[in-house]
Amino acid sequence: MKNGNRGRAPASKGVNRRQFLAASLAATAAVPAMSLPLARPALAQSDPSRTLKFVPHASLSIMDPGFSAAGVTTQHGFHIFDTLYGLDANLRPRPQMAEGHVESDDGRTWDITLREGLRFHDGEPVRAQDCIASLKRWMSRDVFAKDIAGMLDTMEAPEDRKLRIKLRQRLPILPLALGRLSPFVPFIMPERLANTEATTQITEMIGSGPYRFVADEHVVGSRVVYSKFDQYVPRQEAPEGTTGGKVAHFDRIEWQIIPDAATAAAALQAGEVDWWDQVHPDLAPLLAGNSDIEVRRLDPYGYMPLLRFNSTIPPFDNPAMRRALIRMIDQTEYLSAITGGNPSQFQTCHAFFPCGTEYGTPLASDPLAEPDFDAVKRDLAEAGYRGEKVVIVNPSDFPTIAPLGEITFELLKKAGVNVEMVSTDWGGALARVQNRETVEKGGWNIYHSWWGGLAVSFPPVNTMIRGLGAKGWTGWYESADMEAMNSAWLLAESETDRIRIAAQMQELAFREMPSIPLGQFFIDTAHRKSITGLVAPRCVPWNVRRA
Amino acid sequence: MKQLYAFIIRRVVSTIPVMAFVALFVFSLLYVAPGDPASIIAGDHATPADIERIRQSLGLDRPYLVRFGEWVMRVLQGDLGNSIFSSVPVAQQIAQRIEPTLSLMIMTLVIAVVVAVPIGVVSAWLAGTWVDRLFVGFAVLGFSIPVFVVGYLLAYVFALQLQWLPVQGYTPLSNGFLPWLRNLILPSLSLGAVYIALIARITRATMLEVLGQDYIRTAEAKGVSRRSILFVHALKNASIPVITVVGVGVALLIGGAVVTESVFAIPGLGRLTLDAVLRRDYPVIQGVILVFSFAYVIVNLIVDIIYTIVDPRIRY
Repeated sequence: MKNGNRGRAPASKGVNRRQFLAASLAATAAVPAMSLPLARPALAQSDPSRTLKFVPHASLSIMDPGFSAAGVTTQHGFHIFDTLYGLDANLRPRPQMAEGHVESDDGRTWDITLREGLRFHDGEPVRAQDCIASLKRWMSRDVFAKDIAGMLDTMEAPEDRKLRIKLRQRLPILPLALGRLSPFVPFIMPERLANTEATTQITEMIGSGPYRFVADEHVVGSRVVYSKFDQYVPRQEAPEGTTGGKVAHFDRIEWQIIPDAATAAAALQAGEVDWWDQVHPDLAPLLAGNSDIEVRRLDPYGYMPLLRFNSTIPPFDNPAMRRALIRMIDQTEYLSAITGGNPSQFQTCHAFFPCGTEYGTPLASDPLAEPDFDAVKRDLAEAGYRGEKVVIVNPSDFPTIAPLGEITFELLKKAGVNVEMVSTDWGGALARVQNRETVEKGGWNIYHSWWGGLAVSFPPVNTMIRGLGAKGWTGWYESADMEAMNSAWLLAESETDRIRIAAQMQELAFREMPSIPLGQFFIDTAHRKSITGLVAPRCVPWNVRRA
Repeated sequence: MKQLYAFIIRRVVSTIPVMAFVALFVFSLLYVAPGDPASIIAGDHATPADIERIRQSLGLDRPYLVRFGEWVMRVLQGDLGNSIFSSVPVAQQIAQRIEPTLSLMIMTLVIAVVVAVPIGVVSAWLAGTWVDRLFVGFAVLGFSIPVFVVGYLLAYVFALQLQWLPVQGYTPLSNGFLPWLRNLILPSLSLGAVYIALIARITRATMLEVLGQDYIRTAEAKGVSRRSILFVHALKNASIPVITVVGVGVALLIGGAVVTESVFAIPGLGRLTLDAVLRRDYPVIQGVILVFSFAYVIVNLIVDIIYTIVDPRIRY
């Protein structure tokens, strides 16, 4: 058709053709202009020095932090929402939206008073009723919150500023739960929004935090804009963790989504952005060498990679089979692979809790102390391994997970295991690891992932070891003993008791081995030196200012 | 002209079955592809019950035909649906992204044609000389270097070292022509490298063929100037294959835009497509592919029309 010389047209048609060509060119030129009213979001003009340009680690596709556990969604949540309690630098709870609380003598009734002057971004005051609705939504989704819900009698609002929580048992760690730092964080939102089921996304972003979401400047996958909430009343204390005075020093924060790490690094070097949330380990030395940029570690808890077994199908439904593999693990090998071999970016951690915390202590008889392949082969044989196929599901597009699967694949081959690698993208992997069938019917045996250290820093939230079975994390490890210890931890009266119980849980986890911990790695943040006041351990916007 | 208008109407009408086939194909492909948006939304931490509830709330638990039927009915009413993830209407997302992509493609096309055609012409005129070999060498290089490598190199030199142009981002045309242009130069050059190479090679080959024709010899014998021979007599007759390649290359541009927009953080349709595919955001993927396929059909139509303008012997 394109070369279809179907006949001869009279040459005298030239003028018309030119007219047609001119009209076509005019139409082509008009297309971008025509698209402008649709394409152009309202761009507020503001003093550039009062604007913070921030590059988050991922695109913000879901904005509701009660709906999605994505880290970037939680980070967005901390800009616009606030919590009743926060955690300080030592992960100890302190009142945040709460002025304080009174605990009844039997420890089963908590009267929490809200601070004066708290307002939502729509101008409405924050009431106890809003808190009740928000906490109910949170309790329907979060694993720790579900534990709390199991002990909850009622939540009442005797006054607009007073929230009464009645429990069936004494629960000293309630403020710790209400101050969670990692998904799902119990953010407080207006009752009318919080009444939405947690499995349905809220798209109207109304919080009571120091910044408000600017909906009409939001371009999904490209730009998120926040403006200072003038009616926010910060606490008087110095900021620490998610507690203390959350003072907004910038009028405006612009998140620029830059999907490519090298481009983000170049933009930071060129001064086009002020702060890059998570520096790719390969690029950290480059940025550290720039005199205008500071590379630093805000989060000392890092990330904890792990090997997860499917505990419900052969051969790893047998704990002895799971245990047999631990002697093949050399954490340094795994950690080097995902940090570009930079030893400052990782540390071995032979524990299920992050090393550097009160719970993150290896067992005295450390099973991860030394790899021993002879022991692996012997233990596999003793456990009854008969050459069954073992399927590893590996998300090849996830740079901090894919190498873990590749290493395990090689180690299993070396141990004589009949292993098959299923490489897929992240979306495919997530779907596959929800399949509880046998490997012949699309199931799986081994999967790798990682958790933020903060997200697994104490027992109820540590899904690597929780024994909830079908109601728990993929792999579906079930253990009544583990759950009984978790309940004991929740009700423990002292931190000493909690540390002891957590150690017992870890011992059981190393015996039954639902997962194998693969150490701890760290991701630094980088910012222009003109930016100061960053508050550890999360990249949060308050207190940050331009020097 | 009446025949031309009839042809245009026929072609526009013929896009309807094409678009219907594309819609069915894409919907079916996404249905059978591995991956589940509910699992991605719920995240790594979710329980099967959470995922099932999310799946139900998104309507993903309903049969294929029901979902397809509903989607078609909505599309016929001009509603492309909402993103599964952001809940933002797909049409709104496409509208937000169409200007950067269109700007990038037009700028790339302009740069490619302006650079490649003279290179091809000069290369044919000086065939066999060192100039020709140099141009052919550049063309091979253009084909060989991946778009993202060209992008990084250009950004390193012109943005980081010389600081002439921005590293990344996009400024809408409404914010001024120069800021718009500054943001587009590097992405257009990196995306255009392959395109320049392709058009230059085709131009050179067709020009070589045309320059061997009798009428060119006659023009030379009549004392017509070399420039006139090259750019008026020869190029006009060599332009049909070049126009064909420019048209076909639009598909190349659409593919390349995905990479270029990611490297230069341009919020265009390419990045929207990539993000949607990785997340299994079905309504967005379907919407964007419908737009791309429609655009491709229209581009081909425009190419067919341009044939008649360039070569009056062609008519439909």
